Amino acid sequence: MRLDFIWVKLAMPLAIILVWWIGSDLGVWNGYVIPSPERVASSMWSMAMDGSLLKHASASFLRVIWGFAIASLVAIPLGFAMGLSRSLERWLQSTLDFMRHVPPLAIMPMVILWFGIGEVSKVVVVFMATFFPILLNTQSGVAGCDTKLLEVGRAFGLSRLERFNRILVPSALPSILLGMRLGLSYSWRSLIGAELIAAASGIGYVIHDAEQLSRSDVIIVGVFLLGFAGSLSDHLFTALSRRLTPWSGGDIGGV
Amino acid sequence: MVGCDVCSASKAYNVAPGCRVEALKDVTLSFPDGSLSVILGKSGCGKTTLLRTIAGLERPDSGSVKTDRSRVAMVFQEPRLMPWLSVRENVELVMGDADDRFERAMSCLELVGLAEFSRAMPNQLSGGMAQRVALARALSFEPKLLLMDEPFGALDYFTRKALQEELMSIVRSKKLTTLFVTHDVDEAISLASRLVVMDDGRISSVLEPVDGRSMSPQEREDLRELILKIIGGKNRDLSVLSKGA
Repeated sequence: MRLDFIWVKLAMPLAIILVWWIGSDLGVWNGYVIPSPERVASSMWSMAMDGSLLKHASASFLRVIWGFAIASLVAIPLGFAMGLSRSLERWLQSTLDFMRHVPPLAIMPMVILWFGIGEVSKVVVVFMATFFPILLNTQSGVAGCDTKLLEVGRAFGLSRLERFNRILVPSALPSILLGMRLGLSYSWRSLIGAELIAAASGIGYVIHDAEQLSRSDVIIVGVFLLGFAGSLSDHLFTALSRRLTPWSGGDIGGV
Repeated sequence: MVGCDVCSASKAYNVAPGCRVEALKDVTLSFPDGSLSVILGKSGCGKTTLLRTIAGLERPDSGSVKTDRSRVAMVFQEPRLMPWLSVRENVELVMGDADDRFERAMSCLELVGLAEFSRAMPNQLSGGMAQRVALARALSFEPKLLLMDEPFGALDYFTRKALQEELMSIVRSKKLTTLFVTHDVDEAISLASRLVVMDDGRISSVLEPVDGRSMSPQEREDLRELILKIIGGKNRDLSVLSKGA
């Protein structure tokens, strides 16, 4: 990465921190409402040293990974089936349309009732948030596969399985990856909501606990953690997409 | 010996509710082994449908097509290369799991002059190069019957001429039975050893033997006029056409 490019990326965050620091130093706002950068950094350091930072971040990461993995395992095959079968699509479309418009957090009380307040309920919320973007993008990627390319396979006598593996899957891959990337982004948002409602660990829990203790500095630490975690997972996924689909220029769209 | 035999083939499409278009009407035609037949006609006259029926991409409503389908290769109007595969991988795509895929793909690419671009991706190729890769892909299939559906239609004049020359030399050296669809009369005269003129889903005329390369400019012009008259529906006398050719 070129140095000037890094500077362009860092300029805005540095400017915000600078304004924040100067404002806090000059007493422009109340330190209770917006704590100073030094206080936030100090809280982050102490949380890192006592291990709580890693504990809560890894708890959230694990929930996202589990929910995301299970959603991918269910949504991708179902998306292929719906993309390939018009009748299956007609059967499921209205039900899925109804379900995807219900925010996962709206049924959080029911999820807690069914799965308790343990890990499973959080994984279920992540699953629900992640499932639909992956499903819909897989379905559209499969249904939108260029029929002219599939016809090449038919013209040259490729079997159904060969056409599936060599033409349909690679053709749908950029769309599937876009869905997974969107799903990953949604999974973080919904997970934090779930952790704010009922959790004993995780970044959402840190924020909720800090609110109870009026520790705005710890809330900001939680927000930073969330931003870093979301950006990191998105960055890793984009890098993976570039590697898997170089023909699409790695451009699988913005979130 | 016959490379392909079309018997009373008819095909119709429903283009809208209550609207049925007959693309092929009782077409009977044979394509002898090793011939380069050019199917010529106006847009919508059924040329592509005939080719797709022979390729097995369309099933005739009635009639039949007799050919060894396992050895039929097709070059489409567009190159239709897989964007995720390199040039060589695109050629290898149709070869199954043969051990000598690499060597065969490279030799076909060499034949069309693109061996040095084997690692390039389709989006790095010009239109003419991409169509050459499509031709190499078809040749790598080791076909007995090569179907070409207006493959040079979207190319500029110079690239088209160069590819016509390449095609002629490859087809002759490999003694391939080739069906070439075009709506360009000059292209048809330049390429064909046999000219099939289609109109409104039927075979209007079959001209053979045709050797446009050894014709004088006047003979070419006469043949051109004749074809235009046939397509225009003014002359359907097959004996005259055959003689004129």
